[in-house]
Amino acid sequence: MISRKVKSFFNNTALMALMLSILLYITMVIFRPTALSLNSIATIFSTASMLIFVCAGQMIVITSGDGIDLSAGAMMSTTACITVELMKGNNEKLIPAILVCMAFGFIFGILNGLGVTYIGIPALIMTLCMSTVLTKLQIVISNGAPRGTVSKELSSSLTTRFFGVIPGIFIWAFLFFLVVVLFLKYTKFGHRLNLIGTNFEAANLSGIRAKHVRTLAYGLGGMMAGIGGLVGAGYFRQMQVSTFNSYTMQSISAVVIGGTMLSGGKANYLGTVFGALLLTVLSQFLSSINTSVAMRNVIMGVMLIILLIAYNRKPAVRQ
Amino acid sequence: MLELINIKKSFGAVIALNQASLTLEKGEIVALLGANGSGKSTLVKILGGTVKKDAGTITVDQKPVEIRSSAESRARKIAVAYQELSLIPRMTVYENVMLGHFHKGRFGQVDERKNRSFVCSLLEKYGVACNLDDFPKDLPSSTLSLIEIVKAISWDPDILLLDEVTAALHHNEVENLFSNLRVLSENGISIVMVTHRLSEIFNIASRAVILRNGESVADVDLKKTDINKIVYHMTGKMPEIAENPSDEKRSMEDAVLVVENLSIGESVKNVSLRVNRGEIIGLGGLEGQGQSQFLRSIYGAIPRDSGLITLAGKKVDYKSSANAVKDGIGFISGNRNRESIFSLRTIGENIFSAKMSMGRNFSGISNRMIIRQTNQIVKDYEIKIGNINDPITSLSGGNQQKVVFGRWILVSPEILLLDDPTKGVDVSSRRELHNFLRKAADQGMTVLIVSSDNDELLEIANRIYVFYEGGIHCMLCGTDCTEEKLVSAMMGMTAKDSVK
Repeated sequence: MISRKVKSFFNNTALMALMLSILLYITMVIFRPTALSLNSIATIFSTASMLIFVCAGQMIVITSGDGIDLSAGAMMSTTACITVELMKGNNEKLIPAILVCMAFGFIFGILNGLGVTYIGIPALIMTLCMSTVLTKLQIVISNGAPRGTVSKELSSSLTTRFFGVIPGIFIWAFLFFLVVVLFLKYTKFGHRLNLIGTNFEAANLSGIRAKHVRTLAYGLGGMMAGIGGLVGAGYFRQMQVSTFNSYTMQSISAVVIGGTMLSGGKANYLGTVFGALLLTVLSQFLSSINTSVAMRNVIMGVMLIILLIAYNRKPAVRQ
Repeated sequence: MLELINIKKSFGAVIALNQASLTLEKGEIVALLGANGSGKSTLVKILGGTVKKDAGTITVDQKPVEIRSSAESRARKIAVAYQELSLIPRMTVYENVMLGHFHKGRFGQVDERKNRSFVCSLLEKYGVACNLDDFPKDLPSSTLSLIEIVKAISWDPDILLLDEVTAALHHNEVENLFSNLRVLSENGISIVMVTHRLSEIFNIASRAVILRNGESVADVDLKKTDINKIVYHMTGKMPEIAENPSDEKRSMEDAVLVVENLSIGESVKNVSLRVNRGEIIGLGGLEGQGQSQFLRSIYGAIPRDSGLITLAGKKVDYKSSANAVKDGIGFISGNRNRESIFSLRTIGENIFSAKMSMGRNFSGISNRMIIRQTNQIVKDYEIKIGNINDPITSLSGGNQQKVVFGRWILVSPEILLLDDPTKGVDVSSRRELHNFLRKAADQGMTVLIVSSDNDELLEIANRIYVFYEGGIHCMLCGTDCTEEKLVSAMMGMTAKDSVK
């Protein structure tokens, strides 16, 4: 009885990721009592929130089946550059900047999707190529170094801390994610996404335009990464090229750690949020114990492999 | 010599085997029977070492043994021919057969000549029409089944397990196979045969062990029993002969689907047919005569080279199945795992999937509505499920297929196309599916059904088009619908009633 309860607890990946985050945080506090402050909690919230936007997109792409978006981080970096170049400190340009970032992400995401579904290039290759294209594009857009900044209003709406602990970006991320979840739960697209991810052929034979849906998934994934780039630029105010490229791997890890199946067809919304949280706490923890950046990357990598092994096992199914 | 006592096995919450027992004497041929989901295949897999039992004992020559892997199974001289073929598509027939036990020559090298002549003689003996260097992906399924059997026999087993190997075989091939199996049993090899074709077992087996819901409920001497009793053990009910619905009074004016000169590459040649509203049309023939491709091309699932399709007076040319569904055509595949079941989703979502294909991507849908509508289908058609939110994989094959049927009832298409829908489905589920189809046809739905099972066609179809080598060989209706006529037409023997 107890063992079954323990088992079901460990099968609940979302809860597990949350517990691990808390455990890691406590360990961090033991190592470094100064880590127990509203400030450090707020930093964790901010960093995790920044990750949420791109994670939501990655989750959609992965759920579409045999899907992965390796261009998500480059997309964030690109729209971040576009944002600062476009706004140059002027808040009146906020709405155009949002629209441009969304459209830019959507169009390049759709290109990914067309390559994957209609031309038949493996998602890994297609999005990796796209990532290279986007990285170079940033340099073209910004002449090597983006010079503008975002408006004060945008950055303060993201960095202001309510009650000293809840950063503005957290609220934006929360609202954004809520919209995404509601969208996936209450539109035909969301349901079709699950179906094509589970069995592409059966979805086709049920009359679902599986290729359209999958292409759209990449489009939406790109769009969400695009929004993530704008938010990231807003948080940091100024930008360099390729700032967010590492977010590709982080987003994939967060999604999979959260319990979304890498093979597609099953998304775990809450798990994605806690997955992002766990990754953030882990990286904070490693920097708090004064590991070098290189060592931190090695440890992060090993931890990720372990977590992926622990989470991505499937139960025996009757054939 | 082999004894299985009270074997238990569960997959998650689903109990596949519970108190299953089986004994096998030297040189005996035993039929292992049971409705779908009764655990036959699981029992075979436990013996083959690909599934581990949870409890129970296996003894060989009174000594208890453990079979933890397929290697251990082979070490006990057990060989299995699996239902879902275990052949590797991109290795040659010869390599597939010898894989894992190539004859070795000097210095441990593969002695190619010896291997090839060995495989060649086996293929010849079992009448397998293929070359040593053919690839399984290019061969028809009946040939693959035979290769699978040859592969098992090549291990020179004491115990041979055959899991539904005759399902894809033509009856000539079955005869030949059976005479070979009899020789094997006279040489002291014990054989367990799993099959759904009940009429076969009287020809080949001496005893039948019958499983129901994972329990062995009977062990009968086939000389002292008949098919009715066997069905009774399998289902718990005495079988009744189903009434053939009358098909008079269907006017020829009411053509809902007209196909003219449809051709697809080498597999379908100039096929024309005419279907009236509310008819159940059978498409029969040996496996791989083009009937399945024909059906799928109507649905837009595979492209056709030429031909006209007219649906309710309107010419149609579907580039994808989605267009066909929009025009009121539905499709059920017999290949459940690959082509119809969404294994990670719930029963409700599986039923709703066809309806889900309608409307725009960004239009709304609520779970409550999905559950209400799918529950209604489950209730109306008395599909036995636990909860609508249970995963589809909690159901047995027959019930899964009923769920797939419900999927189309929910959108009530004008025409329903079925490609061997009851393949591997137990007798009672099959009967229920037939009743569903009749009920739907009475309400004006037109049904085209491809089937590899003659009894099914004869029982359910108003008219049967028999395919032979890519064309329609003849059309049977009314009093012509007899097993004898169907079989001879399938073989391409009579040139009677040809459709223009």
